[in-house]
Amino acid sequence: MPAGRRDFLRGAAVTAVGAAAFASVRLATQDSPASPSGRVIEFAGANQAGISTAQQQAASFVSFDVIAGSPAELRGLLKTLTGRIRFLTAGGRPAAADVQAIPADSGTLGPVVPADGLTVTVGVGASLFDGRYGLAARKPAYLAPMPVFPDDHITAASPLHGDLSVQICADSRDTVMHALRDIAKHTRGGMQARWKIDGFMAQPRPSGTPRNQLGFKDGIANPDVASPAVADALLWARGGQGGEPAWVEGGSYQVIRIIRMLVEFWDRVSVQEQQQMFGRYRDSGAPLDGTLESDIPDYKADPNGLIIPLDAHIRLANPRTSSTASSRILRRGYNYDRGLDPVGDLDVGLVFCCYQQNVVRQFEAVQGRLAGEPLVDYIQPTGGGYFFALPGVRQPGDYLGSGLC
Amino acid sequence: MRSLVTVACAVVAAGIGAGAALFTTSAAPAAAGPTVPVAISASSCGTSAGWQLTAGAVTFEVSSAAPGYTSVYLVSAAGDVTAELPSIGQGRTEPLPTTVTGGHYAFRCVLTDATVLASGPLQVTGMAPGAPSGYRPMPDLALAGAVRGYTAWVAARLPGLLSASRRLDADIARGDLPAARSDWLAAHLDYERLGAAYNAFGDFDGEIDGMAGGLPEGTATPGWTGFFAIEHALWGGQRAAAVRPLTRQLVAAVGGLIADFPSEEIDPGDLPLRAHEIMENALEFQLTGAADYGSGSTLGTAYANTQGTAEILGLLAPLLQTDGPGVLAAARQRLAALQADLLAQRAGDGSWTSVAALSATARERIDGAAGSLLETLAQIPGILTPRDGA
Repeated sequence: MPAGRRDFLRGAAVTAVGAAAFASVRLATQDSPASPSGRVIEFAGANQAGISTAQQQAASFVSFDVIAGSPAELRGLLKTLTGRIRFLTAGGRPAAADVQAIPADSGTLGPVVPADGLTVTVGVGASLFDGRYGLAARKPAYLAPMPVFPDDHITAASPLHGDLSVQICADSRDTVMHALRDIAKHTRGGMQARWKIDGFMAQPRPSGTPRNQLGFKDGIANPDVASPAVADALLWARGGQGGEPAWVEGGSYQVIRIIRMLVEFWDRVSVQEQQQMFGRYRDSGAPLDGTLESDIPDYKADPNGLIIPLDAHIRLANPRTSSTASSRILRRGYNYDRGLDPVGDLDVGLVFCCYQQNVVRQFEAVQGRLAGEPLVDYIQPTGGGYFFALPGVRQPGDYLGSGLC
Repeated sequence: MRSLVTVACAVVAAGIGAGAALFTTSAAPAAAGPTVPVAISASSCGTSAGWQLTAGAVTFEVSSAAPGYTSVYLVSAAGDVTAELPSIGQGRTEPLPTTVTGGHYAFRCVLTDATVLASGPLQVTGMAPGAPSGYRPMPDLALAGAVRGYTAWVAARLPGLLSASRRLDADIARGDLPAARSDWLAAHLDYERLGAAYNAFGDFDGEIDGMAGGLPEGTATPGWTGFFAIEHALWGGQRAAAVRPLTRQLVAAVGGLIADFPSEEIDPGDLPLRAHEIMENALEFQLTGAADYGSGSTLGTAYANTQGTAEILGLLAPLLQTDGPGVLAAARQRLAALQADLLAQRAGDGSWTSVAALSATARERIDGAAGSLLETLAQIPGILTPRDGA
């Protein structure tokens, strides 16, 4: 690499290399068709994009620790982050840099950056509210480090917590990676990556809600947050209410759980037993008392769990009672693939991600009901964290976290 | 084509029940600006009549009929190069994309025979934020002083490296392994301080400081020599007698480097590159711990690398003072910040915390400081690219 570089910069080979580089640039400019996806998801708004947004195909969840030296530097970091997200989600042509200068853009998406359905959603972790930046009094009321739950598989090396979470989702994998590289390059010295996990969406097979890696449709019973009433009741934090500071208005609590699925073990379990654990038919996704995935299970008609066991996943997670309606969460998870474990089994599973108005009233209530469910033998929560997704950016001069610092 | 794709995606988005209001259709990408032909020949560098342009993005399409290879520069009224084609061959047409803002520019062409031609004025009306302010053109010879300074600095330090290597060899010769471990560190840091990144010392660097990564049998490869092989042996429980051939060889290799160094020619362009390459290597091998063969001293190595970088930065400072004062100031400030973070990991007895033993917080600070420094240092080669005749 150094030899090549030096030749490019100074040596006799300069023309050949330079000409080849330019030829390819021109080719791309003339011949490149429309970007992978033409769609732009608006960045500005009362809420951040990437929460109630329909899920894109590819995602990365990256946790960062802030290493900025002062509150002013933290503010600068948040402004830079906002500026990059603005550019990346809108797409466009980066300013042409002089050929001898370091490039303004990595170029991995070609000379014109496509928006490609990109959303970048920024959250803050409880650790950001320690003494470093004088934010202790501004912490969202229910934000705490994610506890270790009894069925968790947490070790000293587990990817956990972080000052900031950056959820990057787009219509294609390369767009997600491009965004992450751009953000990291522009924020070096302000924040440092702590852990990262990539996710992908399954296709509907053959239709309806996509399946998780256990073969079951996952996310069927998500609340309809397109309805403002539902979103207001379940999704968005309310500033000044329930002990919340005013600035949280329009934000949302984010829970990330990296849940490994022991798929080899699972594949050695009968479909009957699998279905009993979930409470749904594997093929159709219908509850065991129904025929369509959209059918609502009727637990009142089955009080002893003869059809849908009392400890079935769907029954514990959402008992469909008036008293548990307010604990519903918006799931926005992705499948993950991290390679192999030490015995050669697949390290695959679910990046569980959910959003809610109140992490204690919602996720923790659901989690409490699920403790010890039969499914826990086949899954291993191995990391993640609690974050508070910041309110949206409304005005052009505004920035993420402007209400915070 | 574009509109069809956009419509299709919008349908898909609506189909999966997205909050429809969140979506807008794709705007056309930011325009590349107009394409402006610039014809070059043995006697002309664009039109002598000049051009009028509106501020903003523009792509000059440079075609050359001049013999050999021509350097083409777009130069602002202040004399700064804002865009360039380092070398365009006869018969070629190449795009030169840039952004221009209000004021006067001109093209300057440096032909193969060093003849310099200029275009008529390029007058730009309006303002374009983000237009490059450009580089103050620096002739090739301007780096000569810095190269002489670097050569003298290295030459002055090589005898110290030789003494340190001999001390290490003497420790081993009398079987004093604790002294050898201590003197190994001192000698290794003496070498790493020189900024030997990217085989700056040719084959000698491999002999003196080669890692085992590219060897057929890794650390078990016969013939692996140098500081890392000695470290591997010293911290791997080898007896002194087994280490002796390595320390003798080290002394010989350093002696060889000293004999050879006066005849080594350093390409002036290497120095600005080295300003960031030393620390690129430090991040890649030292801060990761990849170059730790047992002593756990890679943070010390990284600190020695910052000292070498500081020396090169100092030598380049007079040039950067004129051509990139902001970059120089930022580089110095970030280098000092990284050095402070590293020094916090040095114990009173001169030993260093190993990377593996760093707290997560300290490690993030160091890695982040190094990354931030590198983003700044990486701008130096562009600033200090020779642009004779521009």
